[in-house]
Amino acid sequence: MPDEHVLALDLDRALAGEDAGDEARELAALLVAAAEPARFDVTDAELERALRAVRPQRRTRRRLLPALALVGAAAAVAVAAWIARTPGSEVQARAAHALDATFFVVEQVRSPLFAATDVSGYVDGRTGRAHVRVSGSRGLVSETVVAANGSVQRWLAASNTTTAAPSCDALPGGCAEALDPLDLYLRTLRHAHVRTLAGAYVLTVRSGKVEQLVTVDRRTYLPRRIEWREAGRRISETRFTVLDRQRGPVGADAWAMSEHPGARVVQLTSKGERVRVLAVTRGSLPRGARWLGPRYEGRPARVAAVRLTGGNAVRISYGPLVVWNYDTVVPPAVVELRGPAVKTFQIPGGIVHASFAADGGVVADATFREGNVAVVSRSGDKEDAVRAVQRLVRAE
Amino acid sequence: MEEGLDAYRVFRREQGDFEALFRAHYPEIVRYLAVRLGSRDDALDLASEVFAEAWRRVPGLQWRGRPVRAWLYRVSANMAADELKRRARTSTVRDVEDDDASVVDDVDTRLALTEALRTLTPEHQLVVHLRLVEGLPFEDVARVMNRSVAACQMLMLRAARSLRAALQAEGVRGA
Repeated sequence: MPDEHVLALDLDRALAGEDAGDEARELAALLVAAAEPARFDVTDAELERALRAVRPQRRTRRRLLPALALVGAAAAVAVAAWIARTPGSEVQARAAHALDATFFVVEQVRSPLFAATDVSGYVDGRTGRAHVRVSGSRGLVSETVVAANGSVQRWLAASNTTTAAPSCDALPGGCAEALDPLDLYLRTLRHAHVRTLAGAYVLTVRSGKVEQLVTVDRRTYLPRRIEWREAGRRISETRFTVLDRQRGPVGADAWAMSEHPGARVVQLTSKGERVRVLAVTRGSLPRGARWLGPRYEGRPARVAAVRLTGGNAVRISYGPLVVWNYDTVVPPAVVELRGPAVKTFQIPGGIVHASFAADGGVVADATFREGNVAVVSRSGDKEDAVRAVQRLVRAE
Repeated sequence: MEEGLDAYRVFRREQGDFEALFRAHYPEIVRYLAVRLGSRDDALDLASEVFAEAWRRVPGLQWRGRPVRAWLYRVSANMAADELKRRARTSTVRDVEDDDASVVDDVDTRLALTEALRTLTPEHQLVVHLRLVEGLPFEDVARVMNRSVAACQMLMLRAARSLRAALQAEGVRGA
């Protein structure tokens, strides 16, 4: 029995990450792995909903606040829409129109408050697409890609992590490096006071204590410089050293995230929550799901219902080959293996983008009208997933 | 002595401020119940019932040297047990496929781990939950479970061994 106490203490040490014996470390690893799925977050919305349900007498009063907030938000949207539709001055209209194209941009961002950075890449003022790299004195700091549908990927050098999110709002800090200052510039156009100054227009807009001055070229109507001032003191300046309007369509490579070997991939929901697997339960195949039949290449299908942060998925595994059916939230196992698409082809009812991961994994992403399917293979045979995705059938 | 006095003050504060009590402990009760019931949605619902009970009964609790949290876990454990009994009576059928697949990847292992965790006794589940999910030190685990620290450490060891045995029975490699 004393040995048991010794082992219990040893296990405690192993759980704390300290030196411990083999058995204690083995048991600690099992316990940590088993506890991991239970370490999920309860969202603020879930908590507030439950609190209201438990204390019903407060319900009426508390509902007033969201209602007022909703009215306020609706009023703000209406005002914003009215402002957007109000014809601006000639300068504002021409400047906004000038940005309605794809540009190759190089910006120098200088401020006494933070280290100097340079931003370069492509920005499409018409569709909102962007692909920019931010560099500091020690080289590349980050790379951000914003797709036409608003989804965004951001790689950070400091953590070698790529974060994927359905919109810039979900990312901490938004997509300032990709959309600002051009986006800020466009918004400024709607509100600014315009004056003329030696070959340029200067647009000024004040927001609280901060004054923003945009210098616009009188010939091209493109921004040259944006300056932020507080109490007359310059707090930041962005200088556009290159702003090249692209004459023809820009190649797909220009909008693709570069390869970052070994980068960890994190996916966020629209609310900024990290997408995690919350629960996995064995289950039966839902009608209409796409799979490879009850057996594929001699391996039986194993079906699991997977609950993710913000969505659900069905996972059908055939040994090392896995078929995922999902709707809006992409399963982390798929996101982790995705790279730039190297093969795009049609299959009945859908289109497939295949990408190869550095570790030999392959993802064949198929988009159908009714939903999305990804075939993932870690077998090392690149054609495995590509072959399988063409044999998908709908479950009866 | 000071520690006891602090614990008493926390008890009184939580007893007198239901909203603070709710905000502080609702998420951990949901997480605990999710493992017991095998469903996050069910856990959210049942945790609300636990706190509805707390709304009625916590103001009348007598100080017995244990935090309000201990009472919450006790009620949660009882309610979870009732719910599981009710489910057993209504005979829920789970569609689990038997197959001879030899490859166990991450999700399969996870599935096995989750199911193995659910096979542990409520006491083993609670010690794992408090120490490893909520990250409480064993001293706090001991207060919630009304046991000594050594007893809780021993419970953890037994929980780990049970988990290993359950996984080995499932044929999970490395278990």
